[in-house]
Amino acid sequence: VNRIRNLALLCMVLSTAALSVGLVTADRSIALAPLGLVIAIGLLGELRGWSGFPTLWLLGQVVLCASAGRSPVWAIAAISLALAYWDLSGFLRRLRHAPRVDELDVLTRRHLVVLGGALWMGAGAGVLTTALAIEAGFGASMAAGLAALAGIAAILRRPAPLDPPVAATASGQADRNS
Amino acid sequence: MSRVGALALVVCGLLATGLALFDATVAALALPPLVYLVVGALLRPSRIDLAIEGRTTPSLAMPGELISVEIGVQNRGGRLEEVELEDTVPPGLSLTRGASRSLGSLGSGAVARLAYQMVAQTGLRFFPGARAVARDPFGLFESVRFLAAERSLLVRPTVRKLRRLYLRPSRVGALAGPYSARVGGSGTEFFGIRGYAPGDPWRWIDWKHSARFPGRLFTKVFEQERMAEIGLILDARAGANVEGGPPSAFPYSVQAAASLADLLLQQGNRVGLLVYGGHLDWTLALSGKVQRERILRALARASLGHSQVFEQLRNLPSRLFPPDTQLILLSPLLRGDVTDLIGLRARHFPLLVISPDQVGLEARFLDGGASTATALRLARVEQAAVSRRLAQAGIVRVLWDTLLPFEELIERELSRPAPWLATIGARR
Repeated sequence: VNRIRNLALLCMVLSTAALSVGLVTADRSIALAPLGLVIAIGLLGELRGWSGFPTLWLLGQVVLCASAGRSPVWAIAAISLALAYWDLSGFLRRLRHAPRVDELDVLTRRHLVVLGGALWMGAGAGVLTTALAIEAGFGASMAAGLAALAGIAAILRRPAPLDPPVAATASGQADRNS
Repeated sequence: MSRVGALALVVCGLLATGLALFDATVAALALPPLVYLVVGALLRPSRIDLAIEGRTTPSLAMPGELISVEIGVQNRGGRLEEVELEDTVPPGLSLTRGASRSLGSLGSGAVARLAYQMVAQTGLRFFPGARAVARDPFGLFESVRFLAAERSLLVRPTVRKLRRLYLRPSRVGALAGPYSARVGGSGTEFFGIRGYAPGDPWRWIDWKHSARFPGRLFTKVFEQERMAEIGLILDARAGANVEGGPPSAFPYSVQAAASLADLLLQQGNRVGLLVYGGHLDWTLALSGKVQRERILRALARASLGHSQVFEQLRNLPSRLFPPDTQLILLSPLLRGDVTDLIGLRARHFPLLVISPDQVGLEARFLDGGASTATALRLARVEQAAVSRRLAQAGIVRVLWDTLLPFEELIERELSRPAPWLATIGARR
């Protein structure tokens, strides 16, 4: 568990470093001040163990990454590492919440493999897209954007299956206990 | 905000900003979180097929005994990357060893096991089953499934072995038992002397008395001993007991009822039980070992409850008890109960009240300030006044300081007749 925490902190530091470099190379040094604030918030949340702070930190980091858009490689690296930090914080919280974890090593290894694969694919796709410098018109860009939004909406709309007996059994138990 | 919601906000925000600014690099920043979201969605558990097997040993226990729970969950479907299993532990039980929840991955055909132990506490409890939460590796999407594995745990109240209990029921039954029937016949206690009648056993002849009257024989007559019908009433009103926590007198009332039922049934009496609280739980008066089990089970499932109807003892359904049944009420008593008890006594029910000392129990958890001492003194005065009013109505009330074991209380207070009863000749 400590190794995962250290890895998450490393991702946080690397993300901040990549973003700082990106901001400096994009001539947005002024954004280093809010970056300092975001880092402070992240460290405070990490020290206090506040569960909502990784998400806040990610949102702040993403906003700053968008402002460092002129150096896309650094921005993509920063956003991927921020995502890794955010993911590992959540994973760490789930591990700590469970009184017992079966085969922690296997679980962690598989998680890191899947996470690494997803982030490499995402970062690679991002870099490739910017490297290709596709020139698209307003209509094509809008269509691509809307298609992406529709895809996200479709993913989110699919409801998580919730077994109906949960409610029935819970009430049954309450009746019998009473 | 949920994790998936935050991620969607990031992706949509970046895409919208990129489109608004007509900046492809900003839109390209949305790709890493978008791919992360898509991978999470692709790996989310679509179908959970789990089989559960649960065992609670022993299912019938005594208070303080260790209870072991074992749960086995087999995955009959595809691999679950991250699955959290949690057995539903009934309220009021605390774990001493192991865990009722675990996290791990579950391959196809693999079995996950949960094992934990807890200390049994009086009551009847149901374990409905376990809850399985399966997630994708990133924890973005989750599916919940309830796995029914119904088990029950019955922990009977502690029974303290009592040696004897003095009661003088006004009506006795037809079968032999421990109580004087106020009728001459065969028995062990001397009842009187009468003239010899043919057929009387020789060993019953009072030779000393016969010697004083030459030519006549006299026979000793013994008092018949019969069983009685006894109704135990357990006060489960939340208003009369402190609800929850150690200062509650209710567990003591339950223990007293169990011990009394054990002794009275052992003596051959017919014993019934009425739990009077949130609702009525009536166990018909019968005798024997099976009845003992019935009463212990009823006591195990007894719990404090609120009810506007049963808030006062005036609605106690005395018709459940045959006339002249000896009633034993186990209750800390409220001030307003006195009138209702006197009314019950007026309907010819001999009544014995055993009150666990609620004031003493609560006093142990209070600071020793001057105001507490004054309040305690006032409460004691009130208790004494209630006892006196009940005594004037012919109701015996025994206040039980719960630091004293129940068997000692009975031995001290109720194992022999009161001095004034002994003076007028009441025995045993």
